[in-house]
Formats: sequence, structure tokens, C-alpha cells
Amino acid sequence: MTSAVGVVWYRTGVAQQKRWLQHLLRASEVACEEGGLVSPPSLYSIDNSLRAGEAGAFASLLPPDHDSPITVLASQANIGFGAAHNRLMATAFADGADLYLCLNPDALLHRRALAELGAAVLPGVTALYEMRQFPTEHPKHYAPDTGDTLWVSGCAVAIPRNVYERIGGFDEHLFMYCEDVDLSWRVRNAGGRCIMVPRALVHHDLANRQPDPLTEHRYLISGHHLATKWSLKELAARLECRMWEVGVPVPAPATETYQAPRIANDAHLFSFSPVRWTL
Amino acid sequence: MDALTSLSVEPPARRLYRDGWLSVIVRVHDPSRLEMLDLALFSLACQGYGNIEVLVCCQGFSEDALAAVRGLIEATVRPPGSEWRVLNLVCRPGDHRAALINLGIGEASGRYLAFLDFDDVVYAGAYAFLIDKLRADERAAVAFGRIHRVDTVGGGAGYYALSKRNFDNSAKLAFFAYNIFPIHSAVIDRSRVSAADLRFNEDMGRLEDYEFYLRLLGNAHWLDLRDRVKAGEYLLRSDGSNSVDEDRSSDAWQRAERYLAATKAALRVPVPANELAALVSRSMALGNVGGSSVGGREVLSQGEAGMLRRYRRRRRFVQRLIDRVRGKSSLGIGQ
Repeated sequence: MTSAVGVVWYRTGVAQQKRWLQHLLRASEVACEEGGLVSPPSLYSIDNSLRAGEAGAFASLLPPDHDSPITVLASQANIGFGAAHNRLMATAFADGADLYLCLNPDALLHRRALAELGAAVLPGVTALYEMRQFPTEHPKHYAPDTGDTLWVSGCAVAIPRNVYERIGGFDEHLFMYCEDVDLSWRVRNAGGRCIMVPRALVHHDLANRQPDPLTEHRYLISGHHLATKWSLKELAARLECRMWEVGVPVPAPATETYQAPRIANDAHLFSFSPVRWTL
Repeated sequence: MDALTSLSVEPPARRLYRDGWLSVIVRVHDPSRLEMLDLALFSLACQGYGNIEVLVCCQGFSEDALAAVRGLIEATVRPPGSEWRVLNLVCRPGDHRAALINLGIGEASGRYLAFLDFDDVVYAGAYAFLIDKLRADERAAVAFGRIHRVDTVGGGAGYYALSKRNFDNSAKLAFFAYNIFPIHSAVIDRSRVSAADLRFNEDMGRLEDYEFYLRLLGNAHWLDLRDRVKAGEYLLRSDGSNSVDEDRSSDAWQRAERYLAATKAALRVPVPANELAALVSRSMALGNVGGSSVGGREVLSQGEAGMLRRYRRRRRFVQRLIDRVRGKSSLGIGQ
């Protein structure tokens, strides 16, 4: 299985890029040593904070002896998380990758993460695979024995070629947030699975992150699109109320809609899943 | 029994501390559980404070086990400039949890000090925040953050977290009634604490961390920052193998509680009147919590009785969750 790792930078400092890279390279070494990967994954990156046409200096951070390909796409300005990953994914699969790992710029791989992920991928199965965030893992339920879960987080999610070819990438109407939930629902709606790989750890610690009004703004806009796309009236209504409260203009509803109440429902509102705790 | 004079070793020679450096003492007693140590080290490597010295204190490990620990450290991607060492306590079989910490304290070079058990983890940003607050306060010697208690099933890196909640929401001064601060809640500024207070009582096989913090906080100004920062997780296993699951009537627990009682009796705690008044008011509003007694003799303090009742309720809750998880093989995801 040949793999690719894609990252979308946005105002990421050089020190953080180096850390990210060090963790990825270590995880690649371990996975190759243990036979989970035939060769180190190819790297794909794009920087959404640069002006259109600029590529940035990420490639120069790689060690001189690094022998797997790296492709840095020129920025198209800030096209959003999902759209940027779609550009990277399309390139990676066109280059022959069997598996594309979408990895956040603030997500640091445990050295065994790629080995565990490789061991968990089921050949021929239509599924998305989520790495477990550590130490502050997402509270959503997943089955302890099979890993089945209702949706996967885009922080660290592996998308096999067969899923991409059948289902496509992220919905580019979702600038940031909720594109992972949407992709998960489309995969499940097509009979596929969402699987948590609990031993594939990625450090993504939100415990002490400060709340940001821009983040809420984006959640509201994306959440509203998701809710109208999947006919979730209760969620859409609540989000519209919140938007009025905070002065965010309510956008037009999604034009492409789905009806899949057994897959996409707002019973758990913005958690989109039963949760094991609320903190 | 005078707990304050029962220490079995001489205090370490006074050293110059490296300003700006944090020494984290990680204690591990079981070489078969290095997978959990790996997670603790991973959390330390990624937590963000760069001037960090990690001292992994092992209890009587063989050369092979020590090599395995060194291998874990080598394999971990560490912050540039950070320092990581492995220390081994040569000792007879038994519980030497306090001595492990003292070994680390004796070797620590940083001005700031923190502790971490091998099966717990720290959150990013916590150390930097706590150190920042200690620097900003002219008197504080200890700063505490919030710990999340996580009940887990299964071992190693693939553990399943059943639940997560705040370790304790009691008011700050409740600490003097019962322990509300797990060992890895805090960062200590060693320049504001006497060397004599910076030692764990090696005669205590349980509650040694509570007794340590009691002595420290009885003599020092401290910051309760649980509302401002989350420091890490206290991972509890559902197999009953945690120390807190042990029978409190055992010799080890009884001995520890006698030391604790002696320490509390000897301490004179300077408390601002307004904080004391707030605590008394809160206690009166909650009503009297009775202690348990056997044959007319009180076995547990009021706070400890309450803690034990809460603990038992949580155990029943966790057991119901375990039964539910084992009874179901999927989420019943519909198609």
C-alpha cells in the first residue's frame, strides 16, 4: 500500500512545521521498519495563508537524505480546509497513492501511529479511518471492539483511494469545520463505515485552547450548511437562533440536499453522536 | 507519631537551580507497563514548555528494563534542547513510591518542579501557564491546575475511555480535609520552598503525595488555578488494580493515615479570614456530612467518608458502563 500525507498550513510558524515534520518522519521510519508501509509516505502540502501562486519554504525543512517525494502546491489564497485538501488529495491519488492521510498542522503523530493505521486498514472495505486524538480525545462514542463510529474527525483521517473514487472529497461549500462530518455521512450513506483506530495516536491537545469568536463564526456557517444539506431542521433552527444572537448573517440554505435520517440526524445536535462525557 | 521527623534519609545538599527550567519527575515501578510510560513521555514531549528536564525514576529495574526505558526515550521526538535522564533506585522488593520521587528531587536541577506517574498524562500549555503565574506572583510557591479523572477499560495505548470528569470540584481549602490535588496537578517553585519540605515521607506507602503537599501548603503561599488551566489526566483502570481501589483497612493504608493525621495535627495553616469564612459558609449550606464509624470509633474523617461514598457510586456507575459496552458489539449503526 502506498500512502500519502497531506497538510494544509495557515500561518503556521517554521518551528511548528519542523515539529510536525519530525513526528511524521519518525512515524514513517517505524512503519517502514515494521512492514506496515512499503516506503515512506509521499508528502503533499499547500499553504492557505500565502498569496496565490506562492509555494512557501516548507520543502526546505526536509532533511537532505529524505528520499520520498514531496509536492508543494502553489497557494490559491485561502480556499478553505476542505478545498485545499481536495487539491492535495487529487494530486496524491493521481500520483498513485492508495491511501491519503489528511493531517492537521497542529497534529503530531506518535511514532507508532502510521504502523497502527496501516495494520487497521481493511482491504477492499469502503471506510474512513480516524486516528485517536491524544490526550484530549473526542468524546464521541466508538465501538471498543470494531472501532465503528458515527463520524470521523478531519484532524487525522485516512481516506482510501476506493472511497475517494466512489464518494469524492470534502464538500467545498464548507470552508472550515463540519466537512469531516459531511464526508463521513456520505460514506456511510453509500454503505461504508467510519472506523476509529484507537492505537494510532496523534497529539492534538485542545484542553487549554482559548475560545475564538472567529471559530464560532465558522462553526455556525458550516454547521448551517450541513444542517440544511442533510435536512436537519432542528439543528438548522437552533443555529439560526444563535446566528441572530451573535450577529452572523444567516446564509442561503444548501442547494444539494440529502434525506438520510438514519445516518444524519440532529438528535445529538452539534456532537453528531452520543458522547461519553461532556467537559 | 511525629510524621515530620520520621524521614529515613538525609535531605539533599542545597543546589543552585537553573532558572526557567522545569524538572519533571516521572516515577515507574513496573517494567511490564512501559506502554503506559510511553504515553506519559509522549505527552511530556508535546506539552510545549521547552526548557524541560525529564527524570524517569525506575524502581529496581534490571539492565534490560532500563535499556527498554532508554529506548523509549530515544524513540520519542523530544523538544530541542530538552534533557531526559533515566535514574534507577536500587532497593529491596516492595513499595518505594516515595523514595522514587526523592531520588528524582535529589537529581533535579530546574527551579520548577513537577511530578508525573507513569500511567498519567499532562496537557499542552499547562506547565507554561502555571510557571507564568508563579513568576507573576511574588509569594506563591505552588500552583495547581485542574486534573481530569478518566475511567478506562483495557490496557496500553489502546485503552478505552469510559468517562471523563473533573477530579474534584471542592473549594480550595477542602484540601486540608481530603486530597483534591493529584500528584501531577502542580508546579512547585523550589526557590520559595525549604529543602526540608521538598521530600516525600519514605515510610508512607500510600497518600505520600497528599502528605507532601500538606506540609508544603501549610508553610507556603499557593495558587489554586483549577478554573484557569487544565493540567492533565488521572487515568484509572477498571480492573481494580489502582491504589485507590485497595482495602483501606490494610496495614499500608492504616500506617499512611496515621502519618497523615500526625502531619495534620502538627500543621498550623495561615488562612485568610475571608477564605475560611467562605469555606465555613459553604459547609453550613451543604449540611453536615457524617463520618462512618465502627464500634463507636470513627474510622474515616468526614471528608474521607464522603469521598468513599462518591467513589463507590462512581464504581457502580463505571461497572454499569462496562457491562453495557461488553454487551454491545456495535453502535447499532443503521443503514
